[in-house]
Amino acid sequence: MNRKENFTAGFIRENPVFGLYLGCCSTLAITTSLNNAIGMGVSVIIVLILSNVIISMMRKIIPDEIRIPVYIVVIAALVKSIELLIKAYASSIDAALGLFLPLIVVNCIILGRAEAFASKNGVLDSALDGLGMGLGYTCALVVMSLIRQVIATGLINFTNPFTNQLIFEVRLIPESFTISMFGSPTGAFLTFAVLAAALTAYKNAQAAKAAKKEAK
Amino acid sequence: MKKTLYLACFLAIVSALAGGLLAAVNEVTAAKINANALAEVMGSLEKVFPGTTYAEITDYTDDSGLVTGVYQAEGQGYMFQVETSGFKDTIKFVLGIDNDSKIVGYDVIAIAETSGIGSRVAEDDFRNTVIGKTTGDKVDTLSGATISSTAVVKGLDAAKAVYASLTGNAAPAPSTPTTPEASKEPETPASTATVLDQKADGSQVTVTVEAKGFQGNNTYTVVIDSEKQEIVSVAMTTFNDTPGVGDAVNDEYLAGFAGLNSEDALNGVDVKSGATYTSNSAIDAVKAAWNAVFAEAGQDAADQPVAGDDSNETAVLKSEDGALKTYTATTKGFQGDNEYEIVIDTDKQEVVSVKMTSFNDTTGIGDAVNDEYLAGFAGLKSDDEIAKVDVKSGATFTSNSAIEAVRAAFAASQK
Repeated sequence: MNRKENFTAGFIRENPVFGLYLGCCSTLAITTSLNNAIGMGVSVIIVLILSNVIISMMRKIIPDEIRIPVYIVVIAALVKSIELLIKAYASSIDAALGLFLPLIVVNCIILGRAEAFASKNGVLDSALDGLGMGLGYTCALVVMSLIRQVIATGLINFTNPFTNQLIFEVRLIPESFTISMFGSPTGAFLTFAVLAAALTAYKNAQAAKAAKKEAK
Repeated sequence: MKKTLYLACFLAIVSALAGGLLAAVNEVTAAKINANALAEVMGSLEKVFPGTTYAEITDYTDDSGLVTGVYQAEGQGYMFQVETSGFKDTIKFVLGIDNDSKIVGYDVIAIAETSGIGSRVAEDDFRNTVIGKTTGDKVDTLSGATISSTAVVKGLDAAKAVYASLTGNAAPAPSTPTTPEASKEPETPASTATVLDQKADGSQVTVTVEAKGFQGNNTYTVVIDSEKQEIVSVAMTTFNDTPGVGDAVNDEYLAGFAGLNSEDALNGVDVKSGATYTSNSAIDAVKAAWNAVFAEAGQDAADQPVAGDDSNETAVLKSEDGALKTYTATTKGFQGDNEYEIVIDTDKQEVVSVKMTSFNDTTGIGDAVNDEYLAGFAGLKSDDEIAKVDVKSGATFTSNSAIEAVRAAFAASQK
């Protein structure tokens, strides 16, 4: 596959959350607001790119028997560094994400891509793969957060995490019509199920179209 | 062996490098992280005791483990950081108590409870019940948010305990005595139901009665079938009590009178919770109407058995001791007849004591009508007062049998 296909795979075809079903735990837990989604998404992108690059750089020297522990040490160090930086400079994200920030270490996407891609490909390819998968993950988070936040609270807002300033706030649904259940895990599962089904339906439709084209 | 050593060394080196990276990042960020935490605390302190200097107190005893930080505001009081586990997650709040043991600040800084339910502990309604209270006052938990509010109250108590140990200020006596709700009163006043008008239409008698409710007189139209000896219908024609409270006595409630065929049954009608006075005005009105219709026909409810009711309400004089007369009365309870011994002082015209001498109702249910309940009859001075005694919830029939027995004895003593 060429570079472009690799990169775009992360968005739809192999979307890590709804296509590959990786990283579901954090998706379900934190997608209650746009701020959370973007904060988590950016953190994961940074960790993904860096871990993919480092592991790709080391891929020739890592002994095969201990590759998983090595990946985990690398990922853990990266995640902890990011967590300390966020605690220092963007503490509102830390408060919002809580435990799920350090849990990025065991986010399957990162270990999964390290094993499936970075250990076998060059540095630039790995970096692009990390970026693509990370963006796909972030898109999935943002879509889910928008749906859940709008239905549960009626608002969409975004606060600058570094200065705690509200950037914009829009009310889409009057408060008395909100379904606060969507802010709870129940709503998370419901939204996840619908989006996963939608993506599969789209992929099936695409596959049917491609098969038709080939048959001609 | 060589391979294993090589693997171990490799992993050790990678780990060492990772550790080094983390140490470096920590160096850079540690100061800022501490400053952030301090700023958060300062923000809370400013809200509670603005403009004073603070000293952190590290030497305090906290048995509960809920108080995570204590700060003294110079000359003004103390601020406590408390963390308690609520329904879903930890609730973190700050509490400010001034030097006079008064709570001057309460702010929830972290909460993840169910919105609209547990989250109410962070809202102004609850806040206003905390701020202004002294350390001796009790803070009520929230109905419907028990777990969250109980956790907060536990945290408040823990902070108060640390405050007491730090300052030595004993908790002052509760400043506001708990007053009962306005609509629930301890005893109902004697009824003042007056029959205004009575019209007979064959066997249907329509009685217009006025009875005092909570704050005014309510008028009722009571239709009684004098042949079948039962209430046909009750309607409220004028309502002068509290709208929103007394109007719980609505058509639905009044429909409960239809079909009742004895004073016993009327005595057994439940008052509407929260609208006691108004309900009692309805009951009194119907009873007055009943008495008006059947007293005319020569029936005196206290002495003779009311038709349709099997109870034998005659009290027999057992013994006399000067002014004290002892009567025995047998009245029907739930499933059998209960016998009572009632002592009445004819000089003072009051009930002295009531004892149940034979119990034939359901054990475990009817025996709620025990000596404690019967002691409630002592000192009553009129048939009205006796009739007004509350039935024991869950033992209505047996309670009514006691009430009727005492009434019969009292009426007999009046002769």
